[in-house]
Amino acid sequence: MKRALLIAVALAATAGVAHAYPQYQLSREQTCGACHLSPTGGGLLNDNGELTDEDDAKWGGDPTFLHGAKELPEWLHLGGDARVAAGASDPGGGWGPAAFPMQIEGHVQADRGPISVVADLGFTIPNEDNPITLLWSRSHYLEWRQHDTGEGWYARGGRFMPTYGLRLAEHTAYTRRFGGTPLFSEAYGASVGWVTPGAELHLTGFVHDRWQESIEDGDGAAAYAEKRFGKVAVGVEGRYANGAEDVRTQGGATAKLWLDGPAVLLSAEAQVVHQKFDAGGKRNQAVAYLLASWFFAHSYFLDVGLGHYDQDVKVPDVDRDTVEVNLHWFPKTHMELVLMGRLQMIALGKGGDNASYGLVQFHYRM
Amino acid sequence: MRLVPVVALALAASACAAETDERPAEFAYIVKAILAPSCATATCHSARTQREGVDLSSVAAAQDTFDRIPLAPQTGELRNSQLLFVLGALAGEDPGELRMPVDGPLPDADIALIEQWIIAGAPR
Repeated sequence: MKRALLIAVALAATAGVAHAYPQYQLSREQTCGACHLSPTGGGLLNDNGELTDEDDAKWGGDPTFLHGAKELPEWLHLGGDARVAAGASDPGGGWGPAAFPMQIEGHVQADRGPISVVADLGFTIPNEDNPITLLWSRSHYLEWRQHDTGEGWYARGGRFMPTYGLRLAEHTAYTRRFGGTPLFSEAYGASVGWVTPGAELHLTGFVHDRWQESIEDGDGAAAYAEKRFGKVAVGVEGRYANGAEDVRTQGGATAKLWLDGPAVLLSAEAQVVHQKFDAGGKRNQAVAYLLASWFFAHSYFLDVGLGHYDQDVKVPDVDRDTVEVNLHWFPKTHMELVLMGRLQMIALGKGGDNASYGLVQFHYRM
Repeated sequence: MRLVPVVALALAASACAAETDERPAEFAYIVKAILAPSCATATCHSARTQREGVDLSSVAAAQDTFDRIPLAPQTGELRNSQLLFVLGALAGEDPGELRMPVDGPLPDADIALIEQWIIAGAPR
Protein backbone atom coordinates (compact mmCIF):
# COMPACT_ATOMS: atom_id res chain seq x y z
CA MET A 1 0.00 0.00 0.00
CA LYS A 2 2.82 2.34 0.89
CA ARG A 3 4.54 1.57 -2.37
CA ALA A 4 1.32 2.16 -4.32
CA LEU A 5 0.93 5.52 -2.63
CA LEU A 6 4.51 6.45 -3.40
CA ILE A 7 4.02 5.48 -7.03
CA ALA A 8 0.93 7.67 -7.19
CA VAL A 9 2.79 10.57 -5.62
CA ALA A 10 5.77 10.05 -7.87
CA LEU A 11 3.66 9.90 -11.02
CA ALA A 12 1.76 12.99 -10.02
CA ALA A 13 4.98 14.79 -9.37
CA THR A 14 6.79 13.61 -12.46
CA ALA A 15 4.14 13.45 -15.16
CA GLY A 16 5.45 14.67 -18.46
CA VAL A 17 8.94 15.54 -17.37
CA ALA A 18 11.57 13.53 -15.60
CA HIS A 19 13.02 14.68 -12.31
CA ALA A 20 16.41 13.89 -10.86
CA TYR A 21 19.53 16.11 -10.81
CA PRO A 22 19.41 19.72 -9.63
CA GLN A 23 18.57 20.60 -13.22
CA TYR A 24 15.00 19.36 -12.60
CA GLN A 25 14.40 21.17 -9.37
CA LEU A 26 12.00 23.89 -10.45
CA SER A 27 9.87 21.89 -12.83
CA ARG A 28 7.63 21.13 -9.87
CA GLU A 29 7.51 22.48 -6.36
CA GLN A 30 10.15 20.16 -5.01
CA THR A 31 13.12 20.21 -2.76
CA CYS A 32 16.24 18.07 -3.21
CA GLY A 33 14.85 15.93 -0.37
CA ALA A 34 11.89 14.95 -2.54
CA CYS A 35 14.16 12.43 -4.28
CA HIS A 36 17.27 12.18 -2.11
CA LEU A 37 17.69 11.06 1.48
CA SER A 38 19.89 14.08 2.05
CA PRO A 39 18.03 17.37 2.43
CA THR A 40 20.84 19.03 0.48
CA GLY A 41 20.62 16.57 -2.42
CA GLY A 42 23.03 14.10 -3.94
CA GLY A 43 23.90 10.57 -2.87
CA LEU A 44 21.33 7.95 -1.95
CA LEU A 45 17.81 8.15 -3.35
CA ASN A 46 14.71 7.82 -1.21
CA ASP A 47 11.65 5.78 -2.26
CA ASN A 48 10.31 8.64 -4.35
CA GLY A 49 13.69 9.11 -6.01
CA GLU A 50 13.83 5.43 -6.93
CA LEU A 51 10.34 5.59 -8.38
CA THR A 52 11.36 8.65 -10.33
CA ASP A 53 14.28 6.63 -11.69
CA GLU A 54 11.80 3.98 -12.77
CA ASP A 55 9.55 6.54 -14.37
CA ASP A 56 12.48 8.14 -16.22
CA ALA A 57 13.88 4.91 -17.61
CA LYS A 58 13.11 4.10 -21.22
CA TRP A 59 12.67 0.39 -20.58
CA GLY A 60 11.82 0.42 -16.88
CA GLY A 61 13.19 -2.04 -14.34
CA ASP A 62 13.25 -2.41 -10.57
CA PRO A 63 14.75 0.82 -9.19
CA THR A 64 15.44 -0.47 -5.68
CA PHE A 65 18.77 -1.59 -4.19
CA LEU A 66 20.38 -4.33 -6.30
CA HIS A 67 17.30 -4.35 -8.54
CA GLY A 68 15.20 -5.72 -5.70
CA ALA A 69 17.39 -8.78 -5.14
CA LYS A 70 17.91 -7.87 -1.50
CA GLU A 71 15.32 -6.14 0.65
CA LEU A 72 16.78 -3.92 3.32
CA PRO A 73 15.27 -3.04 6.68
CA GLU A 74 13.61 0.37 6.69
CA TRP A 75 16.33 1.91 8.84
CA LEU A 76 19.16 0.91 6.49
CA HIS A 77 19.92 2.40 3.09
CA LEU A 78 22.71 1.11 0.89
CA GLY A 79 23.80 2.11 -2.56
CA GLY A 80 26.69 2.83 -4.80
CA ASP A 81 27.75 4.59 -7.95
CA ALA A 82 30.14 3.55 -10.69
CA ARG A 83 31.03 5.84 -13.55
CA VAL A 84 33.46 5.28 -16.39
CA ALA A 85 34.16 7.42 -19.41
CA ALA A 86 35.88 6.82 -22.73
CA GLY A 87 36.39 8.78 -25.90
CA ALA A 88 38.94 11.28 -27.08
CA SER A 89 40.45 14.47 -25.73
CA ASP A 90 42.66 17.28 -26.90
CA PRO A 91 44.49 18.94 -24.00
CA GLY A 92 45.87 21.54 -26.37
CA GLY A 93 48.39 19.68 -28.48
CA GLY A 94 46.20 17.32 -30.49
CA TRP A 95 43.56 14.64 -30.11
CA GLY A 96 44.20 11.30 -28.48
CA PRO A 97 42.20 8.49 -26.92
CA ALA A 98 40.94 8.88 -23.36
CA ALA A 99 39.43 6.31 -21.00
CA PHE A 100 39.22 6.47 -17.23
CA PRO A 101 37.13 5.52 -14.20
CA MET A 102 35.30 8.52 -12.76
CA GLN A 103 33.74 7.11 -9.62
CA ILE A 104 33.54 3.81 -7.76
CA GLU A 105 31.87 4.49 -4.46
CA GLY A 106 29.51 2.87 -1.98
CA HIS A 107 27.07 4.72 0.28
CA VAL A 108 25.39 3.80 3.54
CA GLN A 109 22.83 5.55 5.72
CA ALA A 110 21.51 4.13 8.97
CA ASP A 111 18.52 5.82 10.60
CA ARG A 112 17.35 5.84 14.18
CA GLY A 113 14.39 8.15 14.42
CA PRO A 114 15.36 11.59 13.12
CA ILE A 115 19.09 10.83 13.47
CA SER A 116 21.14 9.28 10.68
CA VAL A 117 24.70 8.14 10.25
CA VAL A 118 25.78 8.74 6.67
CA ALA A 119 29.02 7.59 5.07
CA ASP A 120 30.59 6.68 1.78
CA LEU A 121 33.67 4.73 0.85
CA GLY A 122 35.22 4.64 -2.57
CA PHE A 123 38.31 4.11 -4.64
CA THR A 124 40.49 6.76 -6.14
CA ILE A 125 43.87 6.97 -7.82
CA PRO A 126 46.32 6.21 -5.00
CA ASN A 127 49.54 7.90 -4.05
CA GLU A 128 52.25 5.55 -5.34
CA ASP A 129 54.09 5.69 -2.02
CA ASN A 130 51.00 5.21 0.11
CA PRO A 131 48.73 2.48 -1.35
CA ILE A 132 46.11 2.88 1.41
CA THR A 133 45.12 6.14 -0.29
CA LEU A 134 43.39 3.92 -2.85
CA LEU A 135 40.51 3.96 -0.35
CA TRP A 136 38.72 7.19 0.21
CA SER A 137 35.78 8.41 2.23
CA ARG A 138 34.59 11.75 0.95
CA SER A 139 31.71 12.03 3.39
CA HIS A 140 30.91 10.66 6.82
CA TYR A 141 28.64 12.56 9.14
CA LEU A 142 25.84 12.50 11.67
CA GLU A 143 22.63 14.20 10.64
CA TRP A 144 19.39 15.25 12.31
CA ARG A 145 16.32 16.04 10.25
CA GLN A 146 13.12 17.62 11.50
CA HIS A 147 10.97 15.64 9.04
CA ASP A 148 11.41 12.45 6.99
CA THR A 149 10.63 14.40 3.86
CA GLY A 150 13.82 16.39 4.16
CA GLU A 151 11.81 19.59 4.57
CA GLY A 152 12.20 21.81 7.61
CA TRP A 153 15.33 22.08 9.71
CA TYR A 154 18.36 19.84 9.54
CA ALA A 155 21.75 19.81 11.23
CA ARG A 156 24.83 17.75 10.51
CA GLY A 157 28.35 17.33 11.74
CA GLY A 158 31.25 15.46 10.21
CA ARG A 159 32.96 15.40 6.84
CA PHE A 160 30.97 16.65 3.87
CA MET A 161 30.91 19.26 1.12
CA PRO A 162 29.64 22.56 2.51
CA THR A 163 26.40 23.35 0.69
CA TYR A 164 27.08 26.14 -1.74
CA GLY A 165 25.86 27.36 -5.12
CA LEU A 166 24.05 25.40 -7.80
CA ARG A 167 25.45 22.04 -6.63
CA LEU A 168 25.88 20.73 -10.17
CA ALA A 169 26.98 17.14 -10.58
CA GLU A 170 29.48 18.16 -13.26
CA HIS A 171 32.63 19.15 -11.40
CA THR A 172 34.16 20.55 -14.58
CA ALA A 173 31.81 23.55 -14.32
CA TYR A 174 33.98 26.55 -13.51
CA THR A 175 31.62 27.60 -10.72
CA ARG A 176 32.49 24.32 -9.01
CA ARG A 177 36.16 23.94 -9.95
CA PHE A 178 37.18 27.53 -9.31
CA GLY A 179 34.17 28.63 -7.29
CA GLY A 180 34.66 26.89 -3.97
CA THR A 181 33.45 23.32 -4.49
CA PRO A 182 36.05 21.52 -6.64
CA LEU A 183 36.08 17.75 -6.72
CA PHE A 184 37.24 16.18 -3.42
CA SER A 185 37.16 19.45 -1.46
CA GLU A 186 35.05 18.10 1.40
CA ALA A 187 35.92 19.36 4.87
CA TYR A 188 35.00 18.61 8.46
CA GLY A 189 32.34 20.89 9.76
CA ALA A 190 28.97 21.57 11.25
CA SER A 191 26.02 22.69 9.24
CA VAL A 192 22.50 23.82 9.91
CA GLY A 193 19.85 24.43 7.32
CA TRP A 194 16.21 24.99 6.58
CA VAL A 195 14.59 23.66 3.43
CA THR A 196 11.08 24.11 2.05
CA PRO A 197 9.73 24.12 -1.51
CA GLY A 198 9.69 27.92 -1.33
CA ALA A 199 13.06 28.70 0.20
CA GLU A 200 16.21 27.16 1.61
CA LEU A 201 19.08 28.29 3.76
CA HIS A 202 22.34 26.48 4.51
CA LEU A 203 25.05 27.61 6.91
CA THR A 204 28.28 25.69 7.40
CA GLY A 205 31.40 26.21 9.45
CA PHE A 206 34.33 24.01 8.43
CA VAL A 207 37.94 23.13 9.11
CA HIS A 208 40.18 21.37 6.64
CA ASP A 209 40.84 17.67 6.94
CA ARG A 210 43.98 16.97 8.97
CA TRP A 211 43.89 13.21 8.25
CA GLN A 212 42.82 12.72 4.65
CA GLU A 213 44.28 15.34 2.33
CA SER A 214 41.58 17.48 0.75
CA ILE A 215 41.64 20.05 -2.00
CA GLU A 216 40.23 22.48 0.57
CA ASP A 217 43.14 23.49 2.82
CA GLY A 218 41.36 26.30 4.61
CA ASP A 219 39.15 26.80 7.62
CA GLY A 220 36.09 28.96 7.24
CA ALA A 221 32.40 29.18 6.56
CA ALA A 222 29.93 28.93 3.70
CA ALA A 223 26.40 30.20 3.35
CA TYR A 224 23.77 29.74 0.69
CA ALA A 225 20.19 31.03 0.61
CA GLU A 226 17.62 30.61 -2.12
CA LYS A 227 14.09 31.93 -2.48
CA ARG A 228 11.63 30.67 -5.06
CA PHE A 229 8.86 32.70 -6.68
CA GLY A 230 6.82 30.20 -8.68
CA LYS A 231 9.02 29.11 -11.57
CA VAL A 232 11.79 31.55 -10.70
CA ALA A 233 14.40 31.20 -7.99
CA VAL A 234 17.13 33.54 -6.88
CA GLY A 235 19.92 32.83 -4.45
CA VAL A 236 22.86 34.49 -2.75
CA GLU A 237 26.03 32.86 -1.54
CA GLY A 238 29.12 33.70 0.44
CA ARG A 239 32.19 31.77 1.45
CA TYR A 240 35.36 32.42 3.43
CA ALA A 241 38.39 30.16 3.79
CA ASN A 242 41.58 30.95 5.64
CA GLY A 243 44.18 28.58 4.21
CA ALA A 244 47.77 27.82 5.07
CA GLU A 245 49.05 30.22 2.41
CA ASP A 246 46.11 32.34 1.33
CA VAL A 247 42.73 33.74 2.31
CA ARG A 248 39.75 33.43 -0.03
CA THR A 249 36.63 35.55 0.36
CA GLN A 250 33.92 35.11 -2.19
CA GLY A 251 30.33 35.95 -2.89
CA GLY A 252 27.86 35.57 -5.66
CA ALA A 253 24.34 35.00 -6.82
CA THR A 254 22.34 32.27 -8.50
CA ALA A 255 19.18 32.36 -10.57
CA LYS A 256 16.91 29.71 -12.04
CA LEU A 257 14.00 29.97 -14.43
CA TRP A 258 11.74 27.11 -15.46
CA LEU A 259 10.02 27.48 -18.83
CA ASP A 260 6.98 25.19 -18.98
CA GLY A 261 6.39 25.31 -22.72
CA PRO A 262 9.74 24.11 -24.01
CA ALA A 263 10.46 22.26 -20.73
CA VAL A 264 13.71 24.12 -20.25
CA LEU A 265 15.43 25.06 -17.01
CA LEU A 266 17.83 27.98 -17.16
CA SER A 267 20.32 28.14 -14.29
CA ALA A 268 22.96 30.76 -13.72
CA GLU A 269 25.62 31.42 -11.13
CA ALA A 270 28.15 34.22 -10.90
CA GLN A 271 30.78 34.83 -8.27
CA VAL A 272 33.70 37.03 -7.37
CA VAL A 273 36.55 35.34 -5.52
CA HIS A 274 39.00 37.60 -3.75
CA GLN A 275 42.25 35.81 -2.94
CA LYS A 276 44.96 37.28 -0.77
CA PHE A 277 48.31 35.49 -0.70
CA ASP A 278 50.30 35.26 2.51
CA ALA A 279 53.51 35.70 0.49
CA GLY A 280 52.16 38.96 -0.89
CA GLY A 281 49.80 39.96 -3.64
CA LYS A 282 46.11 39.51 -4.20
CA ARG A 283 43.69 39.06 -7.04
CA ASN A 284 40.02 39.11 -7.88
CA GLN A 285 38.67 36.20 -9.88
CA ALA A 286 35.36 36.14 -11.73
CA VAL A 287 33.48 32.88 -12.25
CA ALA A 288 30.19 32.39 -14.04
CA TYR A 289 28.13 29.59 -15.49
CA LEU A 290 24.93 29.57 -17.51
CA LEU A 291 23.20 26.26 -18.04
CA ALA A 292 20.18 25.43 -20.18
CA SER A 293 18.65 22.01 -19.54
CA TRP A 294 16.09 20.88 -22.11
CA PHE A 295 13.87 17.91 -21.33
CA PHE A 296 12.95 17.22 -24.91
CA ALA A 297 11.73 13.62 -24.65
CA HIS A 298 10.97 10.98 -22.09
CA SER A 299 14.21 9.45 -20.68
CA TYR A 300 16.40 12.18 -22.23
CA PHE A 301 17.63 15.61 -21.38
CA LEU A 302 20.16 17.90 -22.96
CA ASP A 303 22.44 20.28 -21.09
CA VAL A 304 24.17 23.18 -22.78
CA GLY A 305 26.48 25.11 -20.48
CA LEU A 306 28.52 28.25 -20.99
CA GLY A 307 31.29 28.90 -18.48
CA HIS A 308 33.52 31.87 -17.86
CA TYR A 309 36.52 32.04 -15.52
CA ASP A 310 38.87 34.96 -15.23
CA GLN A 311 41.73 34.13 -12.88
CA ASP A 312 42.61 37.82 -12.43
CA VAL A 313 40.34 40.55 -13.70
CA LYS A 314 43.27 42.98 -13.88
CA VAL A 315 45.39 40.81 -16.16
CA PRO A 316 44.71 40.57 -19.89
CA ASP A 317 44.13 37.27 -21.67
CA VAL A 318 43.99 34.92 -18.68
CA ASP A 319 40.25 34.39 -18.93
CA ARG A 320 38.74 31.13 -20.13
CA ASP A 321 35.41 30.26 -21.65
CA THR A 322 33.82 26.89 -22.18
CA VAL A 323 30.94 25.44 -24.09
CA GLU A 324 29.76 22.15 -22.62
CA VAL A 325 27.11 19.92 -24.18
CA ASN A 326 25.89 16.82 -22.34
CA LEU A 327 23.16 14.55 -23.65
CA HIS A 328 21.74 12.33 -20.87
CA TRP A 329 19.82 9.14 -21.58
CA PHE A 330 18.28 6.76 -19.04
CA PRO A 331 17.82 3.43 -20.86
CA LYS A 332 16.89 1.33 -17.80
CA THR A 333 16.61 1.93 -14.09
CA HIS A 334 20.00 2.32 -12.39
CA MET A 335 21.64 3.24 -15.70
CA GLU A 336 22.57 6.45 -17.42
CA LEU A 337 24.55 7.17 -20.56
CA VAL A 338 25.91 10.65 -21.15
CA LEU A 339 27.40 11.92 -24.38
CA MET A 340 29.75 14.68 -23.28
CA GLY A 341 31.43 17.36 -25.34
CA ARG A 342 33.46 20.33 -24.20
CA LEU A 343 35.44 23.12 -25.82
CA GLN A 344 37.60 25.50 -23.79
CA MET A 345 39.08 28.70 -25.16
CA ILE A 346 41.53 31.08 -23.56
CA ALA A 347 40.80 34.74 -24.17
CA LEU A 348 38.41 33.58 -26.89
CA GLY A 349 41.22 31.84 -28.73
CA LYS A 350 43.89 34.53 -28.60
CA GLY A 351 45.42 33.65 -25.23
CA GLY A 352 46.51 30.04 -25.75
CA ASP A 353 45.60 26.71 -27.26
CA ASN A 354 42.03 25.48 -27.18
CA ALA A 355 41.18 22.23 -25.40
CA SER A 356 38.35 19.81 -26.11
CA TYR A 357 36.96 16.43 -25.32
CA GLY A 358 34.27 14.13 -26.56
CA LEU A 359 33.39 11.29 -24.18
CA VAL A 360 30.75 8.72 -23.49
CA GLN A 361 30.06 8.26 -19.78
CA PHE A 362 28.33 5.20 -18.38
CA HIS A 363 26.85 5.57 -14.92
CA TYR A 364 25.50 2.66 -12.93
CA ARG A 365 23.67 3.23 -9.64
CA MET A 366 23.61 0.24 -7.39
CA MET B 1 20.87 41.98 -2.86
CA ARG B 2 23.78 44.44 -3.11
CA LEU B 3 25.83 41.40 -4.09
CA VAL B 4 24.20 41.15 -7.51
CA PRO B 5 25.50 44.46 -8.89
CA VAL B 6 28.92 43.72 -7.37
CA VAL B 7 29.07 40.41 -9.22
CA ALA B 8 27.83 42.06 -12.43
CA LEU B 9 30.50 44.74 -12.13
CA ALA B 10 33.22 42.15 -11.58
CA LEU B 11 32.14 40.18 -14.64
CA ALA B 12 32.06 43.40 -16.64
CA ALA B 13 35.55 44.19 -15.37
CA SER B 14 36.59 40.72 -16.44
CA ALA B 15 35.35 41.40 -19.94
CA CYS B 16 37.36 44.65 -20.09
CA ALA B 17 40.61 43.44 -18.53
CA ALA B 18 43.61 45.70 -18.04
CA GLU B 19 46.27 46.12 -20.68
CA THR B 20 49.33 45.01 -18.73
CA ASP B 21 50.38 42.00 -16.70
CA GLU B 22 51.90 43.28 -13.47
CA ARG B 23 51.86 39.99 -11.60
CA PRO B 24 55.05 39.08 -9.71
CA ALA B 25 57.23 36.46 -11.41
CA GLU B 26 57.83 34.85 -8.03
CA PHE B 27 57.75 31.21 -6.99
CA ALA B 28 55.13 31.60 -4.24
CA TYR B 29 52.79 33.53 -6.49
CA ILE B 30 53.23 31.16 -9.45
CA VAL B 31 52.50 28.14 -7.26
CA LYS B 32 49.44 29.51 -5.49
CA ALA B 33 47.90 31.48 -8.34
CA ILE B 34 48.73 29.30 -11.33
CA LEU B 35 50.06 25.81 -10.59
CA ALA B 36 47.94 24.83 -7.59
CA PRO B 37 44.53 25.63 -9.12
CA SER B 38 45.41 24.07 -12.47
CA CYS B 39 47.64 21.13 -11.53
CA ALA B 40 46.91 20.17 -7.90
CA THR B 41 43.53 18.70 -8.77
CA ALA B 42 42.20 15.75 -6.81
CA THR B 43 43.68 12.87 -8.81
CA CYS B 44 46.79 14.59 -10.17
CA HIS B 45 49.34 16.68 -8.30
CA SER B 46 47.37 17.17 -5.09
CA ALA B 47 48.85 16.58 -1.66
CA ARG B 48 47.03 13.25 -1.55
CA THR B 49 47.82 11.76 -4.95
CA GLN B 50 51.18 13.35 -5.85
CA ARG B 51 51.37 11.75 -9.29
CA GLU B 52 54.97 11.07 -10.33
CA GLY B 53 56.00 12.42 -6.94
CA VAL B 54 54.87 15.91 -7.86
CA ASP B 55 52.91 17.86 -5.24
CA LEU B 56 51.91 21.36 -6.30
CA SER B 57 49.20 21.91 -3.71
CA SER B 58 51.14 24.46 -1.67
CA VAL B 59 54.26 26.58 -1.80
CA ALA B 60 55.97 24.36 0.78
CA ALA B 61 55.12 21.16 -1.08
CA ALA B 62 56.12 22.64 -4.43
CA GLN B 63 59.42 23.77 -2.93
CA ASP B 64 60.18 20.17 -2.02
CA THR B 65 59.04 18.94 -5.44
CA PHE B 66 61.17 21.45 -7.35
CA ASP B 67 64.16 20.54 -5.15
CA ARG B 68 63.83 16.85 -6.09
CA ILE B 69 62.77 17.06 -9.73
CA PRO B 70 64.32 19.30 -12.42
CA LEU B 71 61.06 20.98 -13.30
CA ALA B 72 62.83 24.32 -13.41
CA PRO B 73 66.62 24.08 -13.03
CA GLN B 74 68.14 27.23 -11.59
CA THR B 75 70.39 27.83 -14.60
CA GLY B 76 68.26 30.47 -16.21
CA GLU B 77 67.86 28.29 -19.32
CA LEU B 78 64.36 27.60 -20.50
CA ARG B 79 65.24 24.51 -22.55
CA ASN B 80 66.14 22.43 -19.49
CA SER B 81 62.80 22.89 -17.81
CA GLN B 82 60.63 19.80 -17.56
CA LEU B 83 57.82 22.09 -16.44
CA LEU B 84 57.84 24.05 -19.68
CA PHE B 85 58.14 20.80 -21.65
CA VAL B 86 54.95 19.30 -20.21
CA LEU B 87 53.19 22.62 -20.59
CA GLY B 88 53.95 22.42 -24.33
CA ALA B 89 55.97 25.62 -24.11
CA LEU B 90 59.34 24.49 -25.46
CA ALA B 91 59.76 25.48 -29.07
CA GLY B 92 60.14 22.50 -31.37
CA GLU B 93 59.36 19.92 -28.68
CA ASP B 94 56.02 18.15 -28.60
CA PRO B 95 55.15 16.57 -25.25
CA GLY B 96 52.49 14.45 -26.92
CA GLU B 97 50.42 12.59 -24.37
CA LEU B 98 52.48 14.14 -21.56
CA ARG B 99 50.91 17.53 -22.32
CA MET B 100 49.50 19.15 -19.17
CA PRO B 101 47.22 20.15 -17.64
CA VAL B 102 45.24 17.28 -19.09
CA ASP B 103 41.97 19.22 -19.08
CA GLY B 104 43.28 22.27 -20.87
CA PRO B 105 46.43 24.32 -21.34
CA LEU B 106 47.55 27.26 -19.27
CA PRO B 107 47.08 30.70 -20.77
CA ASP B 108 50.09 31.98 -22.72
CA ALA B 109 50.33 34.83 -20.20
CA ASP B 110 50.80 32.34 -17.36
CA ILE B 111 53.48 30.48 -19.29
CA ALA B 112 55.22 33.78 -20.01
CA LEU B 113 55.25 34.55 -16.29
CA ILE B 114 56.75 31.14 -15.54
CA GLU B 115 59.40 31.68 -18.25
CA GLN B 116 60.24 35.06 -16.74
CA TRP B 117 60.77 33.38 -13.38
CA ILE B 118 62.96 30.62 -14.87
CA ILE B 119 65.09 33.13 -16.81
CA ALA B 120 65.65 34.91 -13.51
CA GLY B 121 67.18 31.69 -12.17
CA ALA B 122 63.98 30.12 -10.79
CA PRO B 123 64.56 31.50 -7.26
CA ARG B 124 62.60 29.71 -4.61
